[in-house]
Amino acid sequence: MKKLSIIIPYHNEDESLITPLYRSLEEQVLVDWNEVEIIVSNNCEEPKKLTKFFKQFPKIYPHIKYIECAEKSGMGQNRQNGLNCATGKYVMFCDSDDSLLTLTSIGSVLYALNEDREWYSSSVMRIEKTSLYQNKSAVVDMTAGTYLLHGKVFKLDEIKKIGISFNNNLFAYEDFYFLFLVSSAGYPFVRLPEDIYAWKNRTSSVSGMNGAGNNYSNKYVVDSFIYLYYGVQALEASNELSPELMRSAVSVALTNINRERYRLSNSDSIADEVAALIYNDFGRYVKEGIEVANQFDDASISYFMSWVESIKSLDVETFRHKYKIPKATKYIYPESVEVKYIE
Amino acid sequence: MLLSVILLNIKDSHSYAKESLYTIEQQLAVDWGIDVELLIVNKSKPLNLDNFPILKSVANQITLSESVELKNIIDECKGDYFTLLGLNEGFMSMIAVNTICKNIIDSPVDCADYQTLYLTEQNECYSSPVGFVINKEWAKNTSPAICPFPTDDLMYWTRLCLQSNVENIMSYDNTLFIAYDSSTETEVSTTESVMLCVASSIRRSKKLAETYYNELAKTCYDAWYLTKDMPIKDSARIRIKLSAALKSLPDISVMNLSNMQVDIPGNENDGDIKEFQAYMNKIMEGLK
Repeated sequence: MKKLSIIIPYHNEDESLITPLYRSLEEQVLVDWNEVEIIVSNNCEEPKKLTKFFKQFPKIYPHIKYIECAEKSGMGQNRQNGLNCATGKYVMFCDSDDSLLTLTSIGSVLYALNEDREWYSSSVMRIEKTSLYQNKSAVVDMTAGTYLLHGKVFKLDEIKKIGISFNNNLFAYEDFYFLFLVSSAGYPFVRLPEDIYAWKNRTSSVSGMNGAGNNYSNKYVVDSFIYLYYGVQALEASNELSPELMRSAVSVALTNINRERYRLSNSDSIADEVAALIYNDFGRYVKEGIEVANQFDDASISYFMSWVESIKSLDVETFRHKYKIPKATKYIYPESVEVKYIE
Repeated sequence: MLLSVILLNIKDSHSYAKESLYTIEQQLAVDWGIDVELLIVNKSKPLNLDNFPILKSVANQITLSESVELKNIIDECKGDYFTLLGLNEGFMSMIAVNTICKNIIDSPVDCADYQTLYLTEQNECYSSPVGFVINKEWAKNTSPAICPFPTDDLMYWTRLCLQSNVENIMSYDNTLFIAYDSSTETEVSTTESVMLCVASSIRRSKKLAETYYNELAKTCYDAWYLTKDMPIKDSARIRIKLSAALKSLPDISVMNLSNMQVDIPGNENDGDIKEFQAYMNKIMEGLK
């Protein structure tokens, strides 16, 4: 039995975009690759042939399992296809355009798995180049990002036993949804011995689109809403949610709202609705969330608090309908999708 | 410019460059050419970088000549700081360069010392300047005995930290560098490893002042043990280097050396200990 399955969803991205991930895998040291399988799950309707590409990486090539989904599916389904094909005792997810953080990332994961715990996590380093940093390259330590799927390792048996799966209705944020379900199982996340994952912020990705490129009037607020919304869903499903996770989610939401507060001051209706949701569903976490997100100055906190105070009622169903947010069913399991193995 | 990453290809032996180059190619969040430069120093011909598109576009390759000598190499680099990599060395972390730059800005010391993952047979007994990030001006203004390079011996830069009594040094716990095995250079590495044993003792001593002498004794013992069965001509070279290294320690007198307690944990071979003590006594006699 393999010790670890690394699941990489793929959607015909350019080879130049995906090379860093495979190179970072190939260059790992102190790893017995016989303990690892790499599942590449392609959900493109006209999948590319990758054999030649994979052969550039002779150490990992024999351990790559390449699958194609026979029908068009979203990101959630693509991740699920990989999960369904995994045979390792543990699974972790890497996105095609990201990279492992160090040359011992996998080695340290394999070492940590000897403890035989359910979930493991590490910080994720976000790599970006934005006007926030004067257009210079920056690394942001997302220590508070416990809501991220990346940099985490899950015991596959537990995933199956509890019945957690990705929501194939979601074209984006499927990872948050999955993680909230995982978190609701109540197992603690055991810290990995080192940070293992570099997440590259791309403006062309679905979740990275800026205001000009998507249909949302206020991207960051919608992001915040999504984090919290699926938190609610998971809460409903499990009746138990980690306060630590919720404080983290609130903290992230507050950070995003703070970034947008000048735009919010123009009273965008969606912003009001989000604020009400936060207030209604997460009121008890707001204070702690602010404490976690202690980078705020007093003016930001006052602004935020007055804002949520001003909006205390909201029809959640109207919001859900307006923005076409699906209501999660309890631990849905995806319908079977024909998956083709490519040797 | 903040940092120069100098890759020394001074033997023109390209076979070890590949892994090292990949680790440089993969660096994330680096503004090459703005904050950081990559300087490759070749003995006679440029490295072929066809498989490294990023490096190919950013590397400044120079070839040693009468006008560009190794000893003047730090005059060639544009960074306020520089770090030296041998052919079989690279970065352990994909954000190593970014982290180094951040630390330079936050703590602009004369010399920063990072951890290295050694995949060499010698493990910690490995000589190279890998892991040091050095302020260029400080290096240039320090004793001429240290800078510029006197020879093509990379070990010299390890000695820099022995001889120059670096006051303003910062030791970091991050493992940012990696040293791959280079089997054909075993003899050189083994010889030089003696120096590093002592150097690493000095590094550790910054943190372990109370156990300074015992640490030194331990590393000297390691050095001696590692090389005691070597051919006489090699061990003679090593003894000379070890003597020189001990002599050059800035704050250890012969008296202190003679008071060293040789307590080697885990080693139960009395014969070895006695032989080592005799050896050290000989060295100390020579230092008087």
